Amino acid sequence: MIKNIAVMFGGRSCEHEISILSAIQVMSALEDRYHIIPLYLTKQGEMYSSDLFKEIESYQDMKELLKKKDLVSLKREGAEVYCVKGKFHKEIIDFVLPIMHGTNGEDGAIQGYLEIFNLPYAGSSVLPAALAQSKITSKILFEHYQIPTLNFHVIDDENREYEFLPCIIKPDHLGSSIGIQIVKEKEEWDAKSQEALLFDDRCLVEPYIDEFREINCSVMKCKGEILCSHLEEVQRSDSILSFKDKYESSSSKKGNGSHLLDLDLSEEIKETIYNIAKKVYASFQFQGVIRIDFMLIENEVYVNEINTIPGSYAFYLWKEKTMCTLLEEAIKEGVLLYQRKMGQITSFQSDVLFHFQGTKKGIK
Amino acid sequence: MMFLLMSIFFFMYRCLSLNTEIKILQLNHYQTSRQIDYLMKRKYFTIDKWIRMIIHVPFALLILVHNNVVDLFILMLIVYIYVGYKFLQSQKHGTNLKITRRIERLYLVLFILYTFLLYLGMQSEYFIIWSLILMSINKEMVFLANIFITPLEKGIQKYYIEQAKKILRNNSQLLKVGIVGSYGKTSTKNILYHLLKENYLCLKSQNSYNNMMGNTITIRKELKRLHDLFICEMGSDHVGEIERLMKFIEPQYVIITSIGNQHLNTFHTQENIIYEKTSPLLFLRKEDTAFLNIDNAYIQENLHKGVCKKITFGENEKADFHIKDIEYHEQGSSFSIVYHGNTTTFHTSLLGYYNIMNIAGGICVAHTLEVPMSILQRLVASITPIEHRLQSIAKGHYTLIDNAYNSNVKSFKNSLQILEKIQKYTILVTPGLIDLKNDAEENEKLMEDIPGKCDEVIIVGYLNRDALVKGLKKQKFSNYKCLDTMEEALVYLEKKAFYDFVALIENDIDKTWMNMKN
Repeated sequence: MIKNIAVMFGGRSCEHEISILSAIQVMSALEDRYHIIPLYLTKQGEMYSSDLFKEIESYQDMKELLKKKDLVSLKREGAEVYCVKGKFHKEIIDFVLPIMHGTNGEDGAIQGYLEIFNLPYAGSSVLPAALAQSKITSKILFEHYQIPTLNFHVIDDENREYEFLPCIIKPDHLGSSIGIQIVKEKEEWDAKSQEALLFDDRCLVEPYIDEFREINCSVMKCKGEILCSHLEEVQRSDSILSFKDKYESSSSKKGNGSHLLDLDLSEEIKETIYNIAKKVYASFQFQGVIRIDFMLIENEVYVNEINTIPGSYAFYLWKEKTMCTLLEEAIKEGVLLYQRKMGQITSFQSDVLFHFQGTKKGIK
Repeated sequence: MMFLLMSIFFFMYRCLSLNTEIKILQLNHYQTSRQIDYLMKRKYFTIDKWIRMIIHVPFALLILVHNNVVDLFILMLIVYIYVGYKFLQSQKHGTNLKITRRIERLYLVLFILYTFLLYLGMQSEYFIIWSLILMSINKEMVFLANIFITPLEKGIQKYYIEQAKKILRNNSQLLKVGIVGSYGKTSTKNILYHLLKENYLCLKSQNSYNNMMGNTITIRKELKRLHDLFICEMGSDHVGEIERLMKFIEPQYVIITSIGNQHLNTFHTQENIIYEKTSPLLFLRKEDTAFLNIDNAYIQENLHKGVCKKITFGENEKADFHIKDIEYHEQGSSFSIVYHGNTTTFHTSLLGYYNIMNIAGGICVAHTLEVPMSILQRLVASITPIEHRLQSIAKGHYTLIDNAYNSNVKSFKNSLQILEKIQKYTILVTPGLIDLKNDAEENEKLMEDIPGKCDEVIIVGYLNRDALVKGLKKQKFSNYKCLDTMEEALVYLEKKAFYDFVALIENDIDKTWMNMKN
């Protein structure tokens, strides 16, 4: 029996378009093994599904693509969850692959939505996803678990003093370098910190470092074992990777000159990176495939940030796995996590309502 | 029209007291034979039957002097429904009847039956007597309705089974493991589920659902399209049931845990049991695998049967998974399994030989399904014992082994063997066994094994006290004590002044039982 896998993508996020690109890669990789149900979330939060969403060409004419009749919703009926379109058309969803980046997708929101339906899905569950999405919270946890990271402080509207210069200000939640400010002079601080705070209620301030190498490593769990991928180095054209650099200059990461695999790092540093990566994965209790971005400053390794749903599912880092096998392993892990969750007691027979004799006004 | 109204009211009134009877029918699994048993065993004219007759007499007399029967009958019924309802409300605990679809259908048949009988009554002059009788024959009506509805229910069951078969056929990748045997099926199922759940999305049937309908319910309600594996318990107490189950489920793997003399009365001969429990071997195909407990003599005799691959486990040297070095400690047991020359040692908190055999069966299957031994070691160590079944509990200065739910001779002897292997001061706490062929004689016999196996015996309650004491005296065993209740025994253990001993509670008889039998 071919299983029905729903791929959720798009969403209310700055990385909406990137998510579409990742999802199309994922869908074409899995097409032979599963029946794919694309679930496209618009920036307004509408959900659409039809086979057209599997093709990249369709997205050039969004008006044509988003037809009223393709609006869908999820619905649980007994043991199954259905993707319901119109009055008569419904399909069972066996499993969900959330391929969403940034807010409202990578941050636990979509995972929470799926938990409510009791649907199994790939990747980290609500809490780890949310923790990783907040730069400040992850920093605090890095400190707690003694994971090397740059020192930092937090600013908000009331507390907006600088502690060191030059520094870099990052909004707490936004990904992909959006809203990032670099402050080199005292005079710039006021204007730039204010601008950064337009993007988020709290911002993270880190020392600005000019000379460093950015190394990425993907981590996943497979049959109870945490595995690390090859390392890649991101070549930067500017001192800080701008949104443009990161995505617009290269729509596909494969074979692009800006990403180097098989680095000339010493075995010792590689080992350090792998150990830290595994420690991060285990202590945050991540699931599925994630990508951790490291900074290498004068042979010292620091964790920079974590992506719980990396672009293109980070498959280009796993040389010996095709995207299909990587996704299949992630699906398998998701299914087993679901089984573990089902085994834990989440509800019990209660006769509270039966014996309830209070008034509508209040319960003690 | 009036008649219909009357019959509706009449039925409503009957429903007030029918629930108890329907509950009993449900507890009897709707089986006609059990229901007959229940009807025969009870005294026919019980006091409340008479009371029920009598409270209706005044109204009957009233109707007698009045000529319009129907009007008054309805009036009377409304009063009765009201009074009856109030009465039921005053009795706080209801019958907690679980309303299933089947019960709904039963109610419908009962309604038709009552209406029909009322109609018959209307035609005769003795309507009053007729209705009085109708009001007092609850049991019989439920029995009758059940007989009428049985063919329909059979049809519905058949439909559900067909549906379940279709679900299984659609899911061609699903691995299915069948568990067959006289005992240890449910334990093996739970253990196997525990060993496989980290590598496969497994489904196991709930509780000890193990017949056609139980498995049908599990498949229809719980089997998801995502499942990799279905662990299916296959029970039988008649020849041919396993064959039906095998054709229904078509498992690729079957474990035969053991063959004993369970259900001998329905199987009639031991040969039938052996034939039935080894019949899966005949239905497995060449590429399928059977896992066999080679220590069981009946299984060993039938090893040649069928064409499937066979993997054996047991203490026997010839076994593929050879179990050895079984040891018991008060916190559990340990044993080794030799497979292809490699020895792996396992620790578990479960106690007793049968548990080890069940675990070994589980290990065989899990290992064949590509779970590495190193992971199995960890999983076996984390199996939790079932409450009151050889459950070891650390109690501060002593260890309590709770086997309160075991009540047969075999498990009693098995427990004593565990005590024998524990190198500490051991105390047996037991009220003896009940429901044996000859309680006194067999309880006396149970005590034969005591000397050398445990150091002290506490006899609880009066029920078997004389027999047990007699047995102990025969063995010249004098270190025993008689206490009235289990609570007293526990207090005694708590206060016992020396450290590090092991106490075993073997069987616990409900207090109400003890009172009833005396």
